[in-house]
Amino acid sequence: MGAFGNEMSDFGETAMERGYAGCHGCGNTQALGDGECHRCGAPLHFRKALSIQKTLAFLATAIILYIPANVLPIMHTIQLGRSSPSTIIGGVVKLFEHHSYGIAIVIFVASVFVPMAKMLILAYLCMVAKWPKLSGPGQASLLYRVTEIVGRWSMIDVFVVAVLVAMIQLGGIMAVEPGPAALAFAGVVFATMLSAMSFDSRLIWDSQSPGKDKA
Amino acid sequence: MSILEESSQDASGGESELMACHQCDLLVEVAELEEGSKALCPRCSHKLQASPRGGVSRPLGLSIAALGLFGLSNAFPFMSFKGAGQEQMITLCHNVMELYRHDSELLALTVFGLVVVLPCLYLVATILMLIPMRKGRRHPAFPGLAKIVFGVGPWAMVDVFLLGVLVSLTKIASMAKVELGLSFIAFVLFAAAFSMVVSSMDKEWLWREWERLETK
Repeated sequence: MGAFGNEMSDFGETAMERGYAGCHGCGNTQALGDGECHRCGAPLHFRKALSIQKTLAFLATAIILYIPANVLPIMHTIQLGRSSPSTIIGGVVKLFEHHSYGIAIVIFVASVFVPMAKMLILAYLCMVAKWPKLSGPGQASLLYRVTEIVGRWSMIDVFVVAVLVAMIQLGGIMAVEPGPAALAFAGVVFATMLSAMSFDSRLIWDSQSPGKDKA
Repeated sequence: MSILEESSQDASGGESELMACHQCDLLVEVAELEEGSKALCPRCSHKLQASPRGGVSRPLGLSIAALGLFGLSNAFPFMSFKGAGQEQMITLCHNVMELYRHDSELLALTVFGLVVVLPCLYLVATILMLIPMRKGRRHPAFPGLAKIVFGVGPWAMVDVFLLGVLVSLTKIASMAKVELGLSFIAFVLFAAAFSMVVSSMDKEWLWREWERLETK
């Protein structure tokens, strides 16, 4: 953008370089001042405080909960008095054996692939924020956006268990009961969502600040 | 500083606003958006602001419709399930109560919160927030309600629940006959309306519209 003249690069400057902060509550951009947004009253800061630490803390919670979520049964199917537990992966395998490939893929993506990918991406993003040379900011930013949008869909499996438990209650003939992994898995989804929300994506771009190397 | 002051003094139409991109902190000048258009950050292409077609009336109308549909989807049987000579009929709330009965109180609360409480809270707060706006009034309750709406938003999982219901339906369909009730249709429509509300509620755009009301 030529209007800015020679002293700045293509994109102008960031809010922080100008002493401004964008409010998270309402989007209003203003001088940092006394640290309170004059439009909505939310606390104002250049970057989220302790962003990386909080992201990593929620991430660690998610990883710990991910173990019982996969090892313990997510539900018990009781058929003619016999109870058979099934885990998340076991459920996917069973669906494949029954040739329900479509649902098997939906469950696999939502319950196995997305949570794993999300945890890896969040760890990677924290590394990028610390060591910017690892990745281009455009690519890292895209990863973050996808992670934020896709994350909540992992809850599918928990809802499936809830619906099956409510639906299939035919006494001794056939019944479904929830297993402990359902709650643990809900915890994984919550923790990864909170982790993604705590991450400040502006940290990815800070090393690239358009005015930084010029000033 | 000067640019900020200029934009706030210029109260006539067509003003532009200086905005920091939430994702990369770039300062971008955002012109007043036409209905149905959105502004993207030139550096990281994150959405800066979006104005829905139909303005404030769109999310308001859709929220009222969604609340009505939610009421309907609780009034009739959700679906029924026939197998081994027995029939089981459930309603939406039955879902949660059954979990509760199986000593999964926390799981029941989670599902109830994500599918019933938070979506309803979201819709009620949205309606309360938008009615004065549509009348052109700058209501002092707006900041509080906006905080509720945009805080609750990501945790209201109506759409995810619907996909979960569809998956479990196909699972059950191989074992027994499933019949979908009237409520199921109402719930599908509710989920559609709800998603449309969420996609037309842009935080930055709403705050900007609300702030403009004072000058009128």
